[in-house]
Amino acid sequence: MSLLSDLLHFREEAARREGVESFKVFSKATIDAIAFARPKNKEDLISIKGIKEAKYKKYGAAVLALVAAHAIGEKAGEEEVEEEIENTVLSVNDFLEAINTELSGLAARVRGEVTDVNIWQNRVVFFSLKDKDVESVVKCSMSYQHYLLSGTAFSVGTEVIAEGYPKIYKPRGELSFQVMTVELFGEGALKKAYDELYKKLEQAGAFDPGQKKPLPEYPERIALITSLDGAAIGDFQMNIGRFGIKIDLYPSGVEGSRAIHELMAAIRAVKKRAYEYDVLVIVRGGGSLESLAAFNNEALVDLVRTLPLPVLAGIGHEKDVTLTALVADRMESTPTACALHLTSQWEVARESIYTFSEKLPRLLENALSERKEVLGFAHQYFFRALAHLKETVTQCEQQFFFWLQSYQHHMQSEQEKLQVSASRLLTFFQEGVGEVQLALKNFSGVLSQVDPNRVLALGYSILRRNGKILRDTKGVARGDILHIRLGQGSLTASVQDVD
Amino acid sequence: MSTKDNLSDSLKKIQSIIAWFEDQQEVDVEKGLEKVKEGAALIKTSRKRLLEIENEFEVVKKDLEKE
Repeated sequence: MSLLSDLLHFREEAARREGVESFKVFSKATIDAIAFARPKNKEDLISIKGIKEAKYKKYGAAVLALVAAHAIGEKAGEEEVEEEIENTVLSVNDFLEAINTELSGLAARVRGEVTDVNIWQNRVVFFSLKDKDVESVVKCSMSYQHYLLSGTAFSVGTEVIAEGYPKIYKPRGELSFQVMTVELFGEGALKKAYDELYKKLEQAGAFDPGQKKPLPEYPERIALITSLDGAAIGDFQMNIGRFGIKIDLYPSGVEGSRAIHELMAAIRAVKKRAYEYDVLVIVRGGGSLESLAAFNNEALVDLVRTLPLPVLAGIGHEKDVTLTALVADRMESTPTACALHLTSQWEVARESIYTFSEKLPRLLENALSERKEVLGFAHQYFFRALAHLKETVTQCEQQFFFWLQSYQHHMQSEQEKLQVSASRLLTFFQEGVGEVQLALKNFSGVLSQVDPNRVLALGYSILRRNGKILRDTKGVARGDILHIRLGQGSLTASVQDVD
Repeated sequence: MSTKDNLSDSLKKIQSIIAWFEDQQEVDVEKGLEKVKEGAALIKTSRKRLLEIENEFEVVKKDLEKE
């Protein structure tokens, strides 16, 4: 058995042991490469694409042993093998199988001009590649999916580089080149494809600013797609600052024929966890149109466009704007610029907080000191008003007492006046009474003089006739009854004679 | 996500508190004190988030499917 078949067999066994798909142990291309390169030591083995430290740890020893065994075996058994071949009879199928096994180790990148294209039932693309200089042609076939993924629409005359491995198509016994990826060859072709896709996207509104999603203000969880090698990752990490941001790196090649597959896989992986991230960042350094080809691939551009996550692209430098960058939600010219943009708001926030914490305590202080001033004025005003009030009250008081006093004086003087008048009145009255007394005394003297009883006492008498006093003899007749009042007692007499 | 929203909101609130002070002709001292307290609390929590914290960096291994 050839080294290749032994390696394939080893792979199957390992896969079965671990319960995984065989390609997870080694990809077919890696197996082919090992069979081709025949590594003799760790260094040789690790230099093969698809084998890094982890794989080496797992399978390295076994693989190297296999290769070594074959080297020995080959030397020792060359003759044996020749004999074996001579004696063994194979069926056609087995023969072709064996050839195909050997051929699968001859992966190659072939450049040629497309001479005919036939897309069969949207499942397989058949085409031929012709050498530009020498008359030779190889028939190629490629799965339609891979064709689309390559993002390279080619037609007759297009010069391309096809990567794949030779295989005999058994039903026809024809050699065919199984193509995995196709790239356009030459700047001219690439530029043409770029321009066409640019136009198509532009017309579909893919570059419309209205389509762009806003990037988060304070991104905390970032998905990053870039190559683990290269300067981009270092530039990014150096400038992202220290804000406790979680960055998940999905490593991917960023140029070469594998790039498109790795990038698509990485983006799909991020898409599955889109809810875990605030933004997807895709960065790589600058390069030629050819080296940036993967980022102008239609399938990749569409995938980026339809991501539910905001995308920040820092692909290439200013002069090489890739279509992926154009459809991203934001585009920066370098990986450094991307990192700086992501943390710009964080920086601003940090500065602001510093400013705020200085400002805040002063705000109240200022407000309070203003208040204090106002209060000071109010205080003064209040006391002035109070003093004024006090004054007014005192004045009133004084006024009141003044009036009270003058009233008292007035009362006093009136009282005095009254007393004077009273004593005068009394004196006057007393004099008056004295005069009256005197007058009365005089009257009494006079009265006693004229008292009839005095006259009567002298011997006179009062005569009355019929109750009337007699002053003369007029009307008196004899026999009239007369009443006589003497000084003491009275008589009744009758008239004897009238003279 | 919640931290990010809080930080953005906190900063906006602090700014509005400062603006409030600057707008006032006569500051209501009681209200002013309340606002200063609120502002101080917001600054404290925001400051915490903005400290120099190391980023968490992780490489996500993904086996690419190949034929």
